[in-house]
Amino acid sequence: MEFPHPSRPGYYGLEFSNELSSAIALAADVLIPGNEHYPSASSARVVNFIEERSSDQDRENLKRVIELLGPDLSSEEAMHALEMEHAELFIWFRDFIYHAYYASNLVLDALSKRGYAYHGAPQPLGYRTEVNQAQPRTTRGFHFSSAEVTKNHG
Amino acid sequence: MANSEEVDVIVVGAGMAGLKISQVLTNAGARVVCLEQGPTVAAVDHPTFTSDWEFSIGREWAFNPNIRGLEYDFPVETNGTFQPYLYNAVGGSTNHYSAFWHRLKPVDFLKGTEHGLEGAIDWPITYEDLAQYYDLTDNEIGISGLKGDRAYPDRSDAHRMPLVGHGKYAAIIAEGLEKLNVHWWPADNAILTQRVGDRLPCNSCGMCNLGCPRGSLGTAQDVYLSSALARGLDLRPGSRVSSVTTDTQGRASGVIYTDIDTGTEHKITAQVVVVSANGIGTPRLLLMSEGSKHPQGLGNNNDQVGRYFMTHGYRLADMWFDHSTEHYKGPFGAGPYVQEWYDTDPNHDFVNGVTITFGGAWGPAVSALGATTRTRPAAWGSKHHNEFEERFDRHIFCAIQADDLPVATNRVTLDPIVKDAGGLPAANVHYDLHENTRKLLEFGSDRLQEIANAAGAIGLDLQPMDERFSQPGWHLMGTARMSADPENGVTDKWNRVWDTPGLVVCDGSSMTSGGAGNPTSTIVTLAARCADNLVKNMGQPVEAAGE
Repeated sequence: MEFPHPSRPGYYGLEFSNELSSAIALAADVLIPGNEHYPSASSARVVNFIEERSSDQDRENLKRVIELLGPDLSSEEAMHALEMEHAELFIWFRDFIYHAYYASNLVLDALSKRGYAYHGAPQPLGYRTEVNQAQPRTTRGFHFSSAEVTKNHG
Repeated sequence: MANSEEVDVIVVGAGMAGLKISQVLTNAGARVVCLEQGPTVAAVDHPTFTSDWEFSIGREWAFNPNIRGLEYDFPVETNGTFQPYLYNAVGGSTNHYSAFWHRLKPVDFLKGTEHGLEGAIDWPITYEDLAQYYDLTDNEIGISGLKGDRAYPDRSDAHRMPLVGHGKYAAIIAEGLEKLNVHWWPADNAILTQRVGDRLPCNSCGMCNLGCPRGSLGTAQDVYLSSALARGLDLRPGSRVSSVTTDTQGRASGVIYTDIDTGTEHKITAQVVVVSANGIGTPRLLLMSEGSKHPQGLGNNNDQVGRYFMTHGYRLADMWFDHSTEHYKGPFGAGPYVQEWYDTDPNHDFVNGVTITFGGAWGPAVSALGATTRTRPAAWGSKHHNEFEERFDRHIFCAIQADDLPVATNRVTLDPIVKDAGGLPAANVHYDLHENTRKLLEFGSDRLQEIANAAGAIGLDLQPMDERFSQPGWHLMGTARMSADPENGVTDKWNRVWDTPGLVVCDGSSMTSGGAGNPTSTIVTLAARCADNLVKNMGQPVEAAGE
């Protein structure tokens, strides 16, 4: 039996229509617009991330989000309405966008420039940590021996 | 039936207990077949080499098999009060564990004597019976830690490697605990900090629960598999066992399993069958194995199989700071721990106690979503990045872990409707949080707030304990427990099933109590003791016996 390599794009993954991709990008930029330090969600290519990891059910959810947001996908009011009236679906969409965004190489580069040591994939680099770890100065600590155990310890 | 063969021992389940038992028996010369329904996981299979790891652990690498939905998983239906966390693969749930390496303490074996509430009974063994095996497995697996914790009995025969490297969070918490003058200690971890063979020392990458491609994490396959294979262990991944068979006298005689890849059904007979399929999978298999002498399933003549399910009371929390915590560096959930309140205090209106643990956890995506508890996600829109920077690198993972009572109605049964991919019944687990456990978690929450204040935290978010409360079921215990007599459990003190000669059960289900610490150390230690006894009595009938 082979391991199914489920974490990799291609295990799941769909090809979205251009219309759906463009719509997701517009909505994603409402959630995470860019600023002088960070790229916008669409600039960070969140749609590619989502497309490569979506199931059929995910695509249906995305279509529903776009449908509920209505014609003006750049509208903050529409996103507020989705958050208030369809909270569960909104949270699902927001979480997907946040995950896609903070896995982006462009965002990792921005984090590095902001001074964070975080570098994305845990391996193979790992992290350098303090050599001297904190150790107790107090000497508290107690346990009962088997012979000392009585009803409710008396 | 495509094939039929005979061996000395069949082990069902290649997790920590199953592989340990397989290794010992194979090394002793027995012909052992170990059946595992999941696949073998290689280093490159772990999602630690890509930046989407936070996403993967919520989907395909989710702890919960119902979310993963892979063909070789079996569904676990619940009443919504806990999340069933387990992994079906060679190595079992050690593929995604935090390797926090607590032992039980002497008092944990004597909860019947101490209070006897609900289904609490004494183990048929004591800490002293297990002590040498705890030392043995510690030294086999490789434990990093600091000697000298007075909260435990002497462990001087157990080697300790230097401590694992943590982010700043460990020192931040330690300072707070020193101010409060309460017990704390750096965690023992089954994580190498020195090279052992081809297993590399930990490089503090930050997410043990995705598995460890370096071999630093003390997984069952990295510690026990290669030596067992070298001595002839016949390991068969992708083997879904549907029943343990019995002969006309009711003695375990073998198993029937299906090769998931080919769909072919096989039968193996053996002198001894060992079931090590975890605290949910084991009772499920026993209940699926009905026979003329066991109409309610094996081991279940006294209606004990599946009862007393314990998963530790768990309440998770995020502690927030206005300075760097480096939560993304170091092992998940295994930094300092506090056992100031581990034992029953007669002044309280509840029994048992808690361990409070602190650790690093997660990366920027989960920080943006409000960290472990998800209670304060960063705003969307123009404020997003400012609020993100108030969260990322600013939190510490906290866990309050309570010693759960064994309750007869907290039980694993066979689901009457839901099936796995092979048409076998799903497990159904009913678990209600006991009032004693709830009080323990609330008591622990108050103590955690004091720790947060002492550590200079600017906030503490506790997992809400409302109607949505669904605790992580990382630890699956008690469902085929050891007992001194057949009326109160499923096996005797040597893991031999009371009503089924030739059948042995050894894993988390064997634990008569759970203590307030992570159980893998005890599970592998029970396996070492069980296997040792099987070797000493090789060739003799395996039959349970009371004192």
